[in-house]
Formats: sequence, C-alpha cells, structure tokens
Amino acid sequence: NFAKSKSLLDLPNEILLKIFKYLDLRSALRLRLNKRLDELQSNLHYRLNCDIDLNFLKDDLAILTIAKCGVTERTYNDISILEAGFKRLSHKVGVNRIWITAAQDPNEQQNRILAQLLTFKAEELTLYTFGNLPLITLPPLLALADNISEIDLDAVCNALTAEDLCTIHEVCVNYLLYRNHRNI
Amino acid sequence: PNVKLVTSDNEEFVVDFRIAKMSVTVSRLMEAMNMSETDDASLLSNSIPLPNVTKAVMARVIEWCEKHKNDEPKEEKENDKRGRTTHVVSDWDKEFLKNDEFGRLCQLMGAANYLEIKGLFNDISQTIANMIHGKKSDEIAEMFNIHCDLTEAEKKEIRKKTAWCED
Repeated sequence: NFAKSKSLLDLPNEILLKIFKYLDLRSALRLRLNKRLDELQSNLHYRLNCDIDLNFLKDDLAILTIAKCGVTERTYNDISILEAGFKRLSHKVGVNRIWITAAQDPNEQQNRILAQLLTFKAEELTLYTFGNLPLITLPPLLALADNISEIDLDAVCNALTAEDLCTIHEVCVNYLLYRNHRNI
Repeated sequence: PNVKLVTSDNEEFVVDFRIAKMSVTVSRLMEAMNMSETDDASLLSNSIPLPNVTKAVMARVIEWCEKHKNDEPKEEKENDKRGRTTHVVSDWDKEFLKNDEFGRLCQLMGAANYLEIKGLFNDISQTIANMIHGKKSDEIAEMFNIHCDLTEAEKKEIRKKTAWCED
C-alpha cells in the first residue's frame, strides 16, 4: 500500500533496488543513509563503463582516476581512504580496464589495495611496477583468470606447492575436456 | 472494444482494449476471464477488479497510457557513460510527473508496479533517481524523509568508505 508513502523507506526493497540501478556509483553511495539502504547498496553489483587508473607514487601517496565516476587524477595523501573504499566494492564491481602502476615495491597497505582491486571484474588488467617484481601465489592468479579476460602482469610466482601443481593439472585437464566437448 | 476496470474505491473506468493490454496484470486477468478483443459479450459482461489502485491514481495511470498507447517498446540502456542504467524520460513524461510530490509519485509507482506497466514504472524510477543525482547526503535525507537509524560509529564507518569518491 503506497497510499501513505511519505518516505523513500516506505517503498519495498524490489523498488528501491530498481532506483539504485538508475544511480551512478557516487549517488548510490550517498544514499546509504540508513541501515536498510546501506544493506541494499552493499549487495548491489555494478558494471561500470569506465577504466580505473591507480598510480602508487610513494608509501602513502597515490593518484587515482576513475573519470566516469567523477574521480579525475585525484591525489590521495592517505591511501587508507582507498583501502576502505575498495574493500566495500570488492567482488561487486566490473570495469573495462584496470591499470595499476607502482613507483616502488608495494608496501603492505598497497598490497592490500591491490588485492582488493584484483577482485574486480575487468576486460583488461595491467600491473606495472618500477621496483622489484611482486611475489604472487597461485590462488590469486587463478582468481584473476576467473575475473579478467586479458592480464598483463609482471610478477614472480616462486612458491608453488604440490597442491598448486595438482590444481594446475586439474585446470589443464578441465580445459582440455571443455575444448573436446566444444570440439574446438 | 472497451474494457471495464474497477478500482479499490469502486470507481469504474471504461478504457480501450489496447490501453487495458498495456498492463501485464490486466492482460493476465482478461485471459483468465476468457475476455477477448473479438468477443464483445465477454468484454461487456465482465469487469476487472483492481483492489490495489484508487480512483485518483487510476485516472493518472490511464492518462499516461493514453499518451503512450502507440509507442514502440522502449529499450533501457544498461551502463551509460557513468556506469548506470538509464531510461530516457520524454519531455511529456517529465511534464506529467513534475508536479507530483514524492507521496503521489510513490502511489503512482505502486500502481505501475502492481499493474506491471513497465514504461510508467521506469519513468518514475528514473525521475526519482534524477531527484537524487548530484545531491549531498543530507539533502537526500531531507527530500525523501529518510530517518537515520545509524549509530555514530556506523556513520563514521560509512563516511570512511565513501571518502574516496567525495569532493
């Protein structure tokens, strides 16, 4: 019964979700004014028609551009802001392209931000560092293969365990079975 | 041929068959009641009860349907340049909805949802989204009468998680 609706909160969740769909990310985040709206927004998945370009300059200094979300070459002197923001969006956002550059070896906090960004779905990922190559274990690589179509990644994967080799074997066998099934 | 629609306050509206068919709910009911365009007797002897729609709201719904009865189905554009779904609200629709305060928009939206008139529902959803777009959180809360039940700690946490995209 909408006859007495005076507040947005009088609308049922299905309608609120529809309204969220029409909002850009920034407006949707601003609508988290209440526990119910916060919960609804946190369960939404976004496919943003944009590129993420993140440049780690120093330990706590980064420049981010997500032009179509209203963030253009914005400098962050405290990257914990990015960590908190990306954590909220992790596993829920799809974009066209992610481009990450690190001027030096990523520190612990930068690595956490990278890990969050690597859970985004994307057509293309480029990770480039001017420091030593980052170490990466197999599970995140497999997760990346699931999330991203094209990956350009300079990294060292030197900690393969017997279990990892079994996983690689299983992935290869499944891929061959898939090819045979599809007659590729 | 005409179809009779009866609202929750027992007002009868006689509408063109084409207009009645714009509502998926009414279409289904007509089908269930064996009412067909070519069978005048079935249309004359039956009326469609709509217990969730009042006379005032039904009049608005019919006004919208009259204007759109010859429209081609409209496609929603998924992921525009800002990554959101967009629905183009025509100038006539903007004019039609512009003087509705939020309560009336909600009633109309509820009717469009119940009657399953997608075009009208999308028009109103997009209109509400346009009202939200570009506003600050406190302006949105005031405009839509949103009671905040968040604790100070929760508010702080939310501010922290949205700071990256705020000016």
